[in-house]
Amino acid sequence: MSSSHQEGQQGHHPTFKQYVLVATILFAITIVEFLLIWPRAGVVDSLGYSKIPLLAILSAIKFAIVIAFYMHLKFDHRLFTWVFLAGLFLAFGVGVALLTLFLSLGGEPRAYALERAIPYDEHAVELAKEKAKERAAEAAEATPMPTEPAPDATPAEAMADTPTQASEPASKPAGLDGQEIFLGSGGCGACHAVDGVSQGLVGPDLSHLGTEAASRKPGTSAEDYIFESIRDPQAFVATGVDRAIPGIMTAAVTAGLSDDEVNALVDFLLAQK
Amino acid sequence: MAHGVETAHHAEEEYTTTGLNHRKLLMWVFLGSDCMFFGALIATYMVYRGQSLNGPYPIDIINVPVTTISTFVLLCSSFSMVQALAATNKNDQRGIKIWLLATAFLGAIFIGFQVVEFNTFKNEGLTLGANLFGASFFTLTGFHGAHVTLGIIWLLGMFVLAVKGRVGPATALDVEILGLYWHFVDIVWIVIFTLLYLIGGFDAGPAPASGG
Ligand code: HEC
Repeated sequence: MSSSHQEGQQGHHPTFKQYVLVATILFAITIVEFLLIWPRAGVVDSLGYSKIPLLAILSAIKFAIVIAFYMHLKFDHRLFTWVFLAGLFLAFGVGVALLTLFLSLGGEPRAYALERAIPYDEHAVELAKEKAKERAAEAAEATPMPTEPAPDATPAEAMADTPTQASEPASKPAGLDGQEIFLGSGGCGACHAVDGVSQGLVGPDLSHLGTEAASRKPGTSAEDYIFESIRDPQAFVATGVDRAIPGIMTAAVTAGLSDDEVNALVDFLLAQK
Repeated sequence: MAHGVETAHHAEEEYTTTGLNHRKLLMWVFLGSDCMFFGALIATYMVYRGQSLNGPYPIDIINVPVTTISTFVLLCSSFSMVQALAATNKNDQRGIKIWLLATAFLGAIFIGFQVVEFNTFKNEGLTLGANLFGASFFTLTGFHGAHVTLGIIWLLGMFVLAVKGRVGPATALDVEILGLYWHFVDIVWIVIFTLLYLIGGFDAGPAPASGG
C-alpha cells in the first residue's frame, strides 16, 4: 500500500554523514560571520559597508541549507516550497516597502534622531560624581590656606568663588546672541525648555530662571549662579528642580563654549523672568 | 507496534486533491504566514534602527560573542531534531527518546541564554519602554523566544509519547511536522542574529557630547 503523502520524499532522506556535513557547513559559516564582524579579528575595519551584503549572503546560504536539507524541501513536493516561498517573499516585500517608505518620506531617518539624541555613557554619572568629590576635596584643602587665591581675598570670599572665576560674568559679551547659542552651538535647547524657544525635557525648565536663579544658591547672585551652572554644572546642583536625567549636564557639555558665549547665555537666561 | 498507531496511520492516508498530506501542507502554510509575522517585526526593527533618542544603544549592551554561542546551541538543536526524525523512521526507540530530549534540552539552553540576556539588559536600563531600540528589540526577540518555548513544550510532549512507545515509523509525520516547526524557529534566528547582532549590534548612539 503506497501512501500518497510520502510521494517524492521516499528514498531521498540524507544519510547521517550528510547531516553531519550540513551541520558542519552551518557551523563554519557562523564562525566566518562572527570573525567578519568581531573587531578584534581585525577584518571588519577593512570591510566597511561591504560587510552588510556579505553577511546577508552568508546567512541566506544558511537559511537555504536549513530549509533544503533539514526541512527536506529539496526532496519534497514542490507545492510545499511554493507555499512557503509565497509567505517569505510577501514578508520580504513588506520589509522592503516599509524601509523605502521611511527612507523616502522621512528623508534621512537618522537626521531627526541624531539632532536630538542624548549620548549614553553608563559610567558618566559615576565619573561625574567622582569628579565632584575630587573637586570638593580640593576645595576643602584650598580654603584653610588663604594664600592660594588673591592675597586680599578673605576666606569667605574665596569659598564663594572657588571653582570658577565668578568675577568674569561682569564683562559684557560683545554682539553675541544668547538665544542663538542656546538653540545652536550650545545645544542647550535639546535638554532644557524655555517658553517660546525650546521644548527639551531632560533638564529643568529654564523659562523663569531669571527670577528663580537668585534664590538657588545661598550667597550667590543670579548672574554668578547661572554662570557657574553652565561653566561648571557639577559644582552646585540645585535641589528641588524637576529634571528627567539628573547629572547628565557635565562640564564636558559646555567645554566648547568660550566665556563670552557663556556670558551671552547668562544674559539670555537672566532675561527669562 | 501498538494497534492505535496503525489506526492513526490509516487516517493519514485519506484522499486529498493535492495528493499531499493535509497536516503537513497546513504546517507549511503556517510557516509561510509566520514568515510574514516575523517579517513585519524585523521590518519594524530595521525602520527604527538608529532612531532611539536616548540610550542604552545596541553597542552599549549587545554581547555578540555570547549570542554567537547561543546561536551554535540552536544550530545543534536543529541537528538533533533531524536525528530524532531519522531515528523515528528507523524505529530506533532509544534514539527517538535521546534525540527528542536532546533537542528540547538544547532549546532550553538557548532560552536560558535569552533569559540571562534580557535580565542583563533590564539591569543596564534597556526595557521595553526605554527607547525605540528596546521596544523593537524585545518585541522581536521576545516573540522568537516564545516560539522556541512553544517548540520545547511540543518536543517534551512528543518525548512523553516516545516514552510510552507511541512514536515510530507510523507516526513519523508527527515528528516531521514538529521538526519543520523547530527548524523554522532556527532559520528565523539565523535572520535575527545576522540583523540584530552581527549588523545592528554595533550601532552606537550619537558621539559623546564635547563642546555642546
Ligand atoms: C544633556 C542635557 C543637557 C544639556 C545639553 C544642557 N543641560 Fe543644563 N541641565 C541639565 C540637567 C539634567 C540639569 C539639572 C542639574 C543636574 O542634575 O545636573 C541642568 C541644569 C542647568 C542649569 C541650572 C538650572 C537650575 O534651575 O538650577 C542651568 C542654568 C543650565 N542647566 C543651563 C544650560 C545651558 C545654558 C546649556 C547649554 C550650554 C545647558 N544647560 C545644556 C541638562 C542639560
